[in-house]
Amino acid sequence: MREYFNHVKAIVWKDCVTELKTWELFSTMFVFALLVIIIFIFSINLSIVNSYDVGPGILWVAFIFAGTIGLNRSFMLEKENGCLQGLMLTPADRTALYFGKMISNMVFLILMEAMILPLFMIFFNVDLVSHLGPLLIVIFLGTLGFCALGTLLSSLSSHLKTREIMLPILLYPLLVPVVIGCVRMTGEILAGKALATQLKWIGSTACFDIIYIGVSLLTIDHILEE
Amino acid sequence: MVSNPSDQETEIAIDVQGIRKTFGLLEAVRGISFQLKRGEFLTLFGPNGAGKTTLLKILSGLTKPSSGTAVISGYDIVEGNPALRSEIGVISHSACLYEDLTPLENMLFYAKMYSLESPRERSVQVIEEVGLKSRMNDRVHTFSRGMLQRLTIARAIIHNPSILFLDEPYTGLDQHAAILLKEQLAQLHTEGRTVIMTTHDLDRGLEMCDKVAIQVRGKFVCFESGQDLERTSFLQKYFDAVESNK
Amino acid sequence: MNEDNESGPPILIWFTVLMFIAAISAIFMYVPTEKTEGIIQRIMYFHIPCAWLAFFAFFIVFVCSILFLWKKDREWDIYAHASAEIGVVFCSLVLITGPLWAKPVWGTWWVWDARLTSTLVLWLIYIAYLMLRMRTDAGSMRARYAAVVGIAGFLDIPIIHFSVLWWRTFHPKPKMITSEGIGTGMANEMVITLGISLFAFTLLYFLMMEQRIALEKMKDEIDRLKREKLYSN
Repeated sequence: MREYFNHVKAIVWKDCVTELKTWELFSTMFVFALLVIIIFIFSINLSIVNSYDVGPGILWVAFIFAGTIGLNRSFMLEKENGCLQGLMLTPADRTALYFGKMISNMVFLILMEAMILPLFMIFFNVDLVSHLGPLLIVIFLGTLGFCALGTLLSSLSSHLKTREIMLPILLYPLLVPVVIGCVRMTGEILAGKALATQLKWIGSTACFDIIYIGVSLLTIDHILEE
Repeated sequence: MVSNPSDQETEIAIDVQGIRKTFGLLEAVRGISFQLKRGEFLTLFGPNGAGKTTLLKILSGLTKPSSGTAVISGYDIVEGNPALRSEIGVISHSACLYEDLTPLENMLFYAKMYSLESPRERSVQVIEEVGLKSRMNDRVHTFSRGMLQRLTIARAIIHNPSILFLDEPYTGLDQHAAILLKEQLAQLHTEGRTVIMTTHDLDRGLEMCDKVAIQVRGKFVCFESGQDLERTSFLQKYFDAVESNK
Repeated sequence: MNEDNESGPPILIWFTVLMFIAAISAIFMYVPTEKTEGIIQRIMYFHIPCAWLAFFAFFIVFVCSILFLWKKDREWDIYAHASAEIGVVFCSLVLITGPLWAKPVWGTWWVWDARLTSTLVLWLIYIAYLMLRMRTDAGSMRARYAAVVGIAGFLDIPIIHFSVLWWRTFHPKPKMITSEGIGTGMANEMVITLGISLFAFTLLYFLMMEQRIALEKMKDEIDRLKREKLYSN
């Protein structure tokens, strides 16, 4: 068990060291998310629509689009130079590889989200500070679900020739419940409601997280094998 | 290279029985069986597309065979026992190294993944062994092909495996780098490791081998002792085999 | 499944044809026209069986995917593939007949009602499944990847269903007609007709499965013969 955690830790450490040197994943995701938000701002008229109504949706679309880019890139790094093969040769359990990649994906995604939130607050003139606690819980739940399923599917699509296209095509339909849940929860929180009124959404998102971590643990072996 | 036979070396290290692998229309490996004793060096010749890489991938546990079995160091490869993976070192076409990391970081990472006792000491030690100590803290993407190959060897032997699989290790190396590699391989072999090396370069392959095999279109057409090999007749045999299977 | 039965195909075909004749005559001659909606309501006897078949087919994909990952037998991969294709066909039919029914009754082609929305998402999931199969080379890799998506896709269905249901809670519920609950508030004739229709469509599913599986096996056989010829020397 200790060994298992050490393997997971080693992968996260490796990804973080790489990222600290290049800032590639973070900067790509951040700029992309920012662009998505700005494009949405151009496409709607903020003086007509209520930013509390459209804001949460735009925020999550930005997170998910940028996250997809991050997932694609994260597995590309493993495919370059056949590193994934090198990982497969080590005695580490395949689920440890999955957890390692999932956690590092999550770390970068949450970092990007943390940077986007203040900008979102400024652009949409929305007060986030007073609801920060519940909001962070929602973002954590949503990001966990995204990374749980996203890591599984990006490890799958990384073996395909058309990986950049196939990842969103596979991922987005399955992600619908998380998107609906998180957008709804974010909206309600911004409207000043307590998170406790959103129990069913918390439940459904948490279910999603658990189901897809479970599915990944059971099937990752079949995906990583060449 | 001639290894000294002793009691321990008569033990079977690799026992392959009727391995087959099909990819759709392609049958890459079509029933290969052979045995290798501990400490033996098998050079596997074959033209491109003979299925040599696939065979090595199966033996190193990266791919499951469509049928057949192989027992390596007492472990069945089909079961995919993690303990078996600690016994095997692989050098393949790809370096399996992270370009943005330094050699030391790469080795540290792999040392941790192999759960080695003292990762840092072992990492520095293997980097020294392959003569890259002076470049230990430069990023890997600044390395030449030869240096990369040496680092790949370091990665493959960091966990001190008893069995090595080398897939075309000479590809893309210049004369000097090739000589260095040869010395390194000789060293690894004299330390008592069982080695399978694939190559399509006859001269390089015959320099150092206990056993030779020729694989053409997924089958062994020849598997014999390399010690008293008649060079010209072997060359003839190789070209005949390749020619007749065009 | 039926392909094990040597004398199966002709019997199954004729039985399916008979059931469809019965279903069509029941739909157009036997069952009375619904009072409020009029003639259009008869589309229900196609719409609901299609929806049932789509779900059933995706369930079979799920089961076969699990069995494939467990047993690693090509047979299960073929079943999953065949069932996914049929499922997508019927899912598409649901998405076509739905708006056709909705237009005269609700006044719009599309309503973001829970059932329509989840069917659309489901359709997208299995389209992705088929695209994945198309873009992966034949072999065990394709089968394994498809199986993982087949499992992940089906497990999502309940969560999608509830999310979409709650998503619309704050909006006026569209007037759900008979499909709200089969049998509630329906005349006996309607229940019988729907039953016949469901049975006929289920037979059609097995018939199509059988044909599709035979086709896939024939492809395998051709590949095997080609390979034999290729490596004959």
